[in-house]
Amino acid sequence: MQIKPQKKKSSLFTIIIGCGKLGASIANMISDSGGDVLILDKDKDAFRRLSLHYGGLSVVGDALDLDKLKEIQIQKATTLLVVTNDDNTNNMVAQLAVYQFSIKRVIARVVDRDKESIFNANGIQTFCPVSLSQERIGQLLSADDPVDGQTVDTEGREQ
Amino acid sequence: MGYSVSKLSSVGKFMMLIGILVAIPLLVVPFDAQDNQFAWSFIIPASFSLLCGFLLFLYRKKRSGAVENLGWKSSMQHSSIIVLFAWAWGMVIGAFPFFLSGQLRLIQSLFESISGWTTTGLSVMDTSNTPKIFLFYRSFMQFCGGLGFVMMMNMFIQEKQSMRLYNAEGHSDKLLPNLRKTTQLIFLMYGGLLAAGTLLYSIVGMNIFESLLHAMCALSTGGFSTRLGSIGEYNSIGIELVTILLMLFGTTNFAVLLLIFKMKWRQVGRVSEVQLLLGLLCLGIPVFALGLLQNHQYMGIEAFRIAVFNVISALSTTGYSTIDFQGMSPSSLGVIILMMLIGGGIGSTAGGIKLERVYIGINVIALNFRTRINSARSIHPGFFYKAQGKHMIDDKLILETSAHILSYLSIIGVGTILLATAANTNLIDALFEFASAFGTVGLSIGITNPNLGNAALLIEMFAMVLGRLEIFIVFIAIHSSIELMHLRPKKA
Repeated sequence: MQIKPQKKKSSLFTIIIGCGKLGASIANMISDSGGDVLILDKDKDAFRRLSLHYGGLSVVGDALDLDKLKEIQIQKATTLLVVTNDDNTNNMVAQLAVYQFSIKRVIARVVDRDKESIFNANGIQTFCPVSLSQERIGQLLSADDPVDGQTVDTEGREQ
Repeated sequence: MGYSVSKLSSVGKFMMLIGILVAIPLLVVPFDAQDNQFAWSFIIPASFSLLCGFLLFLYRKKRSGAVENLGWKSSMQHSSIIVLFAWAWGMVIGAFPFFLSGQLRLIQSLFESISGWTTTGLSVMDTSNTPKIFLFYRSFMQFCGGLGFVMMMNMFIQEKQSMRLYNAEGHSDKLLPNLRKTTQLIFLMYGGLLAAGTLLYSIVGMNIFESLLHAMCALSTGGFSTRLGSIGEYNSIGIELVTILLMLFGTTNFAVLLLIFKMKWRQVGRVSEVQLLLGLLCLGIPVFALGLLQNHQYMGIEAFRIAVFNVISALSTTGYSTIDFQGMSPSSLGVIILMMLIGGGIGSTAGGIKLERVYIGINVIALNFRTRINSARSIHPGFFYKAQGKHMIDDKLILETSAHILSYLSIIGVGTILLATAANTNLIDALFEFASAFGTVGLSIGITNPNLGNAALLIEMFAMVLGRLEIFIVFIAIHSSIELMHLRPKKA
């Protein structure tokens, strides 16, 4: 994992919208390193992806509900991570966070690469799984003569 | 022994923690020179526990890198075993000061220790001539037991498995987006209330030592008193009012307590537990008072005052009393027994079935009624409010809640008969006493006294442990240790 959780300053508070595989794993990581984290998902069953020793908060609710966002005190977040699987939801929540609650760092996942510019125009940091995968596959393909029949060790290679 | 290496380290830490807790009453010695002679009965078990814990800790350090990534099932089993072991160790070590100093017999010491840690408050000690250090020790045990060992541990050390243990000990709430901060906040509230309680008690005319002790016990819904006649011996309205206030705070869920401190009254009033608590008190107090009037024991306002105090004491599972329950009218006794069964707030220091489960239970009955009189195609969602917000009553919750209530009532049934046989009393008295022990209340109808036999004491001890750790964790831990012990020889 490349994303370093905030370790030292305990005043950092991360809110994650969407408890999918990505959201849950980041929430676990931040919680393990002792950070403050809250995760929101509209499906209660989604929280089973969190590990047993997850020590942060988990709230059931719709991120598009303004009252819900106020209830979880979104304005106190230093970082907002919007990682639901729907671009429209991601965009709206991220924009709300930027304009309504003026959160400094908002990171959103963009599934459809063509929409990335809409996010960026509003000052939202984005990442796109397709672009990242493409980049990685390009690296793998361009790597010189992989041994035949052996699987490439994708994790260890970079170090 | 079914303990793997990875578990030994946390077990070691718990042993050390318990050692430190048992040593804390030594702080009383400088203030009261007479207690010097008892110092050794605290130092020996405390240092024994510290040493054992330290050795286990070192042993683990040497063999570090043990497998930490256990599967879901085994990690759940491990945490329940650790929690049960920590409590069992605390109870055994906690019994030694009573035994070594010759204050009590072995079984009696164990009883007193369990009654302390589980915040029950049944006592086989004659408090009129007990040295101060022991009085402090008993109250301090309740104060710590109210929070639980895991909670205390989380205050100092936090590691990966803290959350699992925290859940296994039955703490349901997270108040802040970080476990450590949640623990610190709870400590802050608890400590603040203790200071406030001590101050209030001394304002209404108790001496500082007794103020501190009573505040500790009322807040943890424990109920050990320094007097034989409990709070009733003071016969002071001021002291009763302060006690009622502290008992109500103690029985309130920590998350609701936080809302109260933040002055969010509207949200507090919406919480189902609070509504049920107030409703039960409004019903229970008049019925209890009427029972007293009927019996011609007390008159008018006096009966009402007694009713308010004792019903709140029973519902909050504290167990301070201002009267003697022997020879009381059936309606009054019935109210007290019902209150003891229902108990306090979930995620507080109280025992019993817990208000939230009762609330859900009542809702399930209503739901069942509604589905019977309506067409099969209609749906009837049920809701209840927690401090964190609205929750739906879904099938899983119904299953868990009804299983808990059912097992609670079955144990009450079986336990009452056993206790009646062992203590040789009638069923009503046995029911009262068993409900009191099981709900970690501590009101006594007179069965629990220094002359009670060992069998009856053992039954009550078992009830107290089950009641404090919320039944299932004890069974899970016992089941798991048997399972693990069967597995071990195959692996080796």
